[in-house]
Amino acid sequence: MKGKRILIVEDDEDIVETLKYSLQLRGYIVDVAYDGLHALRKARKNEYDLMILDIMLPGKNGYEVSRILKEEMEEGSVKPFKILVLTARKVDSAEREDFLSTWSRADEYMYKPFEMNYLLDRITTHITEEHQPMN
Amino acid sequence: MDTKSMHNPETSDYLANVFESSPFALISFDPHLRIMMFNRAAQELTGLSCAEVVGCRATRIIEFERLHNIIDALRKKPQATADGYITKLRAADGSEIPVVVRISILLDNRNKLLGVLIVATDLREIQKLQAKLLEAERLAAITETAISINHEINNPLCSILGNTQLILMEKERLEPGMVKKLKSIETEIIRIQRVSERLARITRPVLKEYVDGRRMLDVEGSSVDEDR
Repeated sequence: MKGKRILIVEDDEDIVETLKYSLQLRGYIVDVAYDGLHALRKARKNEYDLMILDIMLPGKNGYEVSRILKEEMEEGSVKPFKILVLTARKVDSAEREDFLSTWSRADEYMYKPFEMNYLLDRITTHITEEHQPMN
Repeated sequence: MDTKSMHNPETSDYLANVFESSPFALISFDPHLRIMMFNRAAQELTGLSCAEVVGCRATRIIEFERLHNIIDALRKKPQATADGYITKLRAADGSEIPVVVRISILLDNRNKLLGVLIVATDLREIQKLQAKLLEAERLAAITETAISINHEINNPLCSILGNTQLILMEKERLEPGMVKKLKSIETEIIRIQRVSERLARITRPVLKEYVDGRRMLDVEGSSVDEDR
């Protein structure tokens, strides 16, 4: 996966460092945003192959960031990429969480703490799918 | 109502009927605090008949240590009533019924006590409702704590687990003893994660004995199984 660009959107610096190091080991080019609004600006300005997005973010939360970007991808103003959401929340209201997950239009949800190998495998799968030629 | 009508026998019967058919438990006392009248609602509430209580002292049916003090205070404020006193009525079966009472006194022109009227309202249903509300508040507080713990623990766990697994990816370069220790860290992190997840799925807090008489939350028993 050399040269593929990933944007990490996460406000916890330790998690950012761990993710960044793991992804760079696999040859990804990694960019970071520490809040929702910063993430939107970066996604609109640059081209990415995948976004790793936290939910509890300053500025705009991850659900909103995902929804806005997916709508802009549909309109054609942002180049399409996959969004993989990471959340520490696995809370009381499963219905509310299901609703927000669907509403956000993110491609996959993963709960923290996650298995690093599993996360890396899922990223590879998403990026491979993204680059398969259309029939 | 004027004094003349009060002495009319028809009016007296009417007032007796009003007293008898009130939905509130009404108990009237003479100046010596002996029970004079005990209406139907009071009989239904306590299970005691008029014959069993009329002529008895107030303490036969009511736990009221401060009754004399309250009456003395009311005598200084004519027309006043004392409202909202929570006490207990003694029932026929020996049980005690929590009630809230309103006390009114009847005085003559020379401020001499003629009698006392107590209106009692059963508090049991209200207390049950309060218990339910308290339980709901307790559950909400536990759930909020669980959400906070879930969030605050899972984020650092994410870093610890991620870094542990990153090091384990290069296990060929590590001593076998070190790999074993890292595997142990990994297993325990996953264990903490499962507890944190269960904590977030608490539906009804169940407590279990800890040590020294202290209790702790039974996380397994209090939470729903996600696969159920």
